[in-house]
Amino acid sequence: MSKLKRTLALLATMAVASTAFVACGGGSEPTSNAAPADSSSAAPADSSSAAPAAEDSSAADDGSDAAGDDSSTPDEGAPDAETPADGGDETPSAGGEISLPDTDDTLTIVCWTDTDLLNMFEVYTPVNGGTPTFQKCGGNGSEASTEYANYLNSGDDVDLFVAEAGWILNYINDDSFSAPLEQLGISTADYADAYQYTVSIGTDNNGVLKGASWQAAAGGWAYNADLAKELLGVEDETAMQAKVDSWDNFKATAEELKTASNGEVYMTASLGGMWQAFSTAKNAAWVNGTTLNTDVAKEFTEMAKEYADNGYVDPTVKQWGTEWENYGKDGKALGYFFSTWCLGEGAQLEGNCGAAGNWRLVNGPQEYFWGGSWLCVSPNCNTATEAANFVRAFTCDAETMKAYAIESGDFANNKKAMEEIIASGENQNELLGGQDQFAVLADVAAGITMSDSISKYDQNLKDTFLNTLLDNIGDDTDTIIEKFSTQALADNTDLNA
Amino acid sequence: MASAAQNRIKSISYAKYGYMFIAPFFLVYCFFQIWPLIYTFILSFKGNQSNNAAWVGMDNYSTILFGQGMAQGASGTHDEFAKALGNTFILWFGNFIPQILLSLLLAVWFTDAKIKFPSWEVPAKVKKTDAHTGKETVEMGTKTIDSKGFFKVVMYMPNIITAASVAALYVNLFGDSKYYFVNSLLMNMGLVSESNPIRFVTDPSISKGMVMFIQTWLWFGNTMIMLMSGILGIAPDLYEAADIDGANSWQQFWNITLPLLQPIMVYTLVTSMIGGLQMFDLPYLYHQGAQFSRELETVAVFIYYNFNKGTVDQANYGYAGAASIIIFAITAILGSITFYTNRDKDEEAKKKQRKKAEKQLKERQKQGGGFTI
Repeated sequence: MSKLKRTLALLATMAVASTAFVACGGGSEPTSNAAPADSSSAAPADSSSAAPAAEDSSAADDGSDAAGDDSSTPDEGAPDAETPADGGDETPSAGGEISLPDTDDTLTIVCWTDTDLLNMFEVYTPVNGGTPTFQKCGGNGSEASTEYANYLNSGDDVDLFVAEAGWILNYINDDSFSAPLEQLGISTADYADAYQYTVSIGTDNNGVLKGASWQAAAGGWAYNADLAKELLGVEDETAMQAKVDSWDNFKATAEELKTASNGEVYMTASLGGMWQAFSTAKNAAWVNGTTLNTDVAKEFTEMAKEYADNGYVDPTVKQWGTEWENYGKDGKALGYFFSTWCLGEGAQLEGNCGAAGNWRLVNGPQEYFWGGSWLCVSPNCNTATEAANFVRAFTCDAETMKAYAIESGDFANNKKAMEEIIASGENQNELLGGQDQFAVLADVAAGITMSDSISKYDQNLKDTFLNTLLDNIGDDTDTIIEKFSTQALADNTDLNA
Repeated sequence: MASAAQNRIKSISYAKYGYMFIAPFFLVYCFFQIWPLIYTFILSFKGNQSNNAAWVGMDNYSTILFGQGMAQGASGTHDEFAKALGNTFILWFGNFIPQILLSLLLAVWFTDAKIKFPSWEVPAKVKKTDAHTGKETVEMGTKTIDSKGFFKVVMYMPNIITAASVAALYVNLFGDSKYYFVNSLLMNMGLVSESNPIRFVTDPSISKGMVMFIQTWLWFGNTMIMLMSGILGIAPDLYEAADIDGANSWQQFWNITLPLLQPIMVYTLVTSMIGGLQMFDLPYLYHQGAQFSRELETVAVFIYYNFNKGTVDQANYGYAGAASIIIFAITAILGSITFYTNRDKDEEAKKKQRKKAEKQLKERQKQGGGFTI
């Protein structure tokens, strides 16, 4: 009897003790996949079994050169097994060899949201076959920015990962997290049709291409056409664009609007939106080496103060906040800076401006982008051929990207694909009264210039600056810059003034 | 001479089973409590951002405490920490003082036998048993509710809502524009103009006041229950005797309740101080927009922000560790002072006397040549 009691007690204790470790696990599914695939003992076994199949095709070209054999093995092995549709795209890159191993048969993509990837799989699998899967890591973009590091260090299976504009630089500038796309046989030359800024961001500090984007998150300026007609006498988009095609004209129009509306209507809903547009294409670096550069911040502070002092914009409105939402609906703001992902069904355009279709989109004063995601390669990638196919399909191949853009409504990062969609005239956005937003955004995306002097500190510095500016908008410019500089240096021990 | 069996029995010890059973707890405790504590100490001597693997000695401490360190932003970090420490004390005092006063008042009222709380008759379903058939029927009748219990429950209620919900609730009630309830109400009453709403969330002093108020509102019920249990622990004959001697309520409160409540008061003070110095949730959550309010930044928020900032290689682990240790030291010092000033002086004196007597006894024994008498 007492033995039974003792056993029970021991069991109970163990149960309690073991539950304490429950949360310690983590991505359980890919671990089992990764364990045999990552170990070196399993690798030769797999590749040797794959080699004879590929040798059949390569033996015909050149039987004597063993090195040539090796390089063509992974490249040609997969398209043979898949569909010929992809073969056409493989040809120009025949020179690019895949140097990462091909020992696993499941393509694992690490992401924090599956919306885009599910749309991609929808387009990809019927044509290419294969079994791409995703592994979620982090609940949202900012969580993912730290969780990824743990995931990538853990040794769990990962072939590709999705990184967001704000923090991709932290990952592509660290070789332990990311491998060059060249190792999948993809080079910068494959991105002739891509929007150039996406390539600039995907390139690390040493000029190595490490990330490729399937989308271009270009943004324009959406405005209330009824209000514009009533207060500014503007009839159509061309006339509106002429009034806001530079920051000077934007300001002049804001003054005109203020007079016409007795100060009731703001030019745009928030300084946050203006800042996004303004900061994107400023080529001055935030950080030179390790020195903080506040030139852009100063320029915008002066501009923001002018807008706030003259009542062109309400400086207390927080981007994405309740006031920000309602200013459109209540006719208190003429327009918003909206990125491509604000214009879809159920997104910000519909939420803030209603579904009446009386809003229009124009380029606005400045070409800019807002967010966007990049596909990066993990150095532990062990499904190289399929990973290469996947990256190629969604970042280089116009056909697949067009299909994806139509499927998802996303703005694909391919000039050819988007031109075809625009030319077909099929895309009409009801919320914009039937206007094709792609036509405007394609124009914007092509005009975005990115300097190479972007650093991994930029996102934090930009956020800190905007918060400091909005909290202290009543102070003079020098004080605001001083406060920003102090905060930025206190936060970033790596930097100096 | 003991038999072999007796010897064996003597050597059986059940203690080892006890140790086995408690071992899992200690293992888990070491892994998840002791090691992180030690690691915080270790981190506080290491660098920040891309320098986070290097040992930097006391640099983090001198940066935070005196504004002198390797990083060029050292004085900025010091100013931020000093402000955060100031905010922590302001927010703690600002909610502790009104909270203890309110709780004490309510606790005294609720425990005072002379104050009669009404009972309420409310409509309710009641079971009735038929006297003849023994059948139970349910019909509408009335039920008596003890209003004292009702008030106690209602006052304790805020404490069971999570701080996150409370912050969301207050931000949505007291938001800074006409789109939020309180400002829109005031605007409709004509007390506030639409262009210049009361900035309950973003104004530096008003937002501090709001956080103090919310903290008080959240915790006064809890403190009240604690003080009530303390008051109920005081022997009622003291109050009866005081009544007979003609002491009024104020005199009873001042001369009986308050002195005898001291241990509970000290407990409340210490727990509140520990909680107050670590205050994080409301100051961090009470804001509009994406960023926490710098005007409400407490030391805990400072630690969290530095620890959790940015992505890989962007966090300041060293600062976060050093600030944690500093706030621990402050709590320990303040706690010791509280205990020292509130110690039972009579007990202390008795202890001294006892020790003195023991010493004297020993002296006497020595004089007696070391023999025990």
